[in-house]
Amino acid sequence: MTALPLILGIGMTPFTGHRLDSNLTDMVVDAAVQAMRDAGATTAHVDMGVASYESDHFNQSMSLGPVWNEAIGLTGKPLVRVEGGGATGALALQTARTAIMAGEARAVLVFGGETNGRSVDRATATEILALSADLDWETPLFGSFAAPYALMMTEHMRCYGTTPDQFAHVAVKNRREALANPMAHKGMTISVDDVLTSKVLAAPYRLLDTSLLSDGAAAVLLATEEWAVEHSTTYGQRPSVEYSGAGSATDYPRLADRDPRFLAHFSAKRTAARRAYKMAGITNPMSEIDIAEVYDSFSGAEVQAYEDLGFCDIGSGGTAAVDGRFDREGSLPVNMSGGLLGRGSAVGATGIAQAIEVVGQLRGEVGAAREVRGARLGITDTHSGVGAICAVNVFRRAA
Amino acid sequence: MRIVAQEPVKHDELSNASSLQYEMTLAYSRTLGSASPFFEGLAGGVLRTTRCTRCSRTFFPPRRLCPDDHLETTWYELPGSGTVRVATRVYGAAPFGGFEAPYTLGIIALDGVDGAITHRILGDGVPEAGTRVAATFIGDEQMHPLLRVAFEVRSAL
Repeated sequence: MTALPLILGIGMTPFTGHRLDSNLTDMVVDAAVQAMRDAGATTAHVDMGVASYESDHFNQSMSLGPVWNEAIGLTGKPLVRVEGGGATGALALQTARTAIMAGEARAVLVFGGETNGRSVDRATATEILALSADLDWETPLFGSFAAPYALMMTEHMRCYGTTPDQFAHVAVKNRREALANPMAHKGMTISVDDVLTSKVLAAPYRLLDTSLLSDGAAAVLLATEEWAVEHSTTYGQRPSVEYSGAGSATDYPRLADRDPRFLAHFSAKRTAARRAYKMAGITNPMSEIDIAEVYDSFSGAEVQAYEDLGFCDIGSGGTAAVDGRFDREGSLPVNMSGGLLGRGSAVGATGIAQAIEVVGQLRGEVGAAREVRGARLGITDTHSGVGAICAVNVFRRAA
Repeated sequence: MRIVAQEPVKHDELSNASSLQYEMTLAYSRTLGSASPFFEGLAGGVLRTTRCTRCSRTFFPPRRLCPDDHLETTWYELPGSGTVRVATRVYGAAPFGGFEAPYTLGIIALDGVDGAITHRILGDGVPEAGTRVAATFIGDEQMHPLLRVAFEVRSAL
């Protein structure tokens, strides 16, 4: 019997621009109920809830955890809300994993969501997102959050000769893959030229290099194998997926405070990945990992992630993006869900949705249109701000 | 907080959902705290920061306490010159106004302190890494005090 937590249930709503028929609690309940059905289990046997959301500003509520907890039948059990910017969902999963590994719980339901779509108008959304930067030292200078990402990518271009058409490939790939994902916010058939002629936000980034703000929810049930045998009627009927590794790390939140030698990189992502890989026994990420969902808040951030996650040599992310190795037919398909660029991002749900894509792929359940055949080891990668908190999770098909 | 409209959602697939339009205005009183002398200095054309009185370590942005010695730091003036680490052109308007888009944004390593600032570099160009710049002070009151300074390229420095 494995000592690692198993992912027994997964559920999510489609990510959309504006969900009008359901409020955030409706969506989280839908996702949580799906996850419990998928596991063939009832919340009566769940030991703990972990609520995942980022922004009181977007969701217009300060204490949604107990509301969701109540709506899915967990009142009375321990509950914690996790917030870590863009890494929120991934950190929620890590919190649940820790509770199980510590023996404090045998089964934990992680549920989260966000109404990043059009709960507020675009100008207000931009204003709220600008609060992710340092309000006293950065926000007065940032026209949008594209600015700090653009500074990092400008440095990447200077250091390694990376070009905008190279990271435009990521924008094209992820929107193309989103066409095959019924949960995706907006798949598109676009060309590199379309990306390179869209409106400039902060050089080198243009409109089509940026990801989507979505409404959506996602949930995952984690439990011990012993609990699965007792309480999950679907356990054993399909490939089992272990939550093999979790790693997180932090960096200076302000770009200006960081070591100038590594300005082109997410240094904390490297550390988070190293920790997660070590825990999961991965020694050569390039050859061992079969599939990954990475944090493509901007197209170039995916290119940086290839390098910082050890998927290619440092500085070669741009050429690797073009050579196809991260496409569906490539050696390490990345963001087959469509990523944040195509599936979209509802922050509290994003890291959970990434895990759902990886688990679905490892089980062979995502459907032929975007299946990566034979995938056995997958990872997810998210970060807050421009990499202030980075979180990497590893999932392995057990049998 | 007030509700300004209440309307049924107009969508073919929906039956019962209705939607409320809220308005909420938030007025905050925000202190700049222990960094206040820095922001006050900008109004008088001075760039200043702090150093530890024991280990002499320097900080930017200014810190009240040395993280190593946990002692109160002391303020000193910076020359206002620096070197561009990276810069780019930004096309969106900044939230507190003070300048028009597009503008040039850079990370500038400041002389006289082990630290850097992310700030505006005047002009239409995008200076290369290594370009020398100097602080220039803006006379007019700004919505945010950080905007009382900007940087300009000083090739002769």
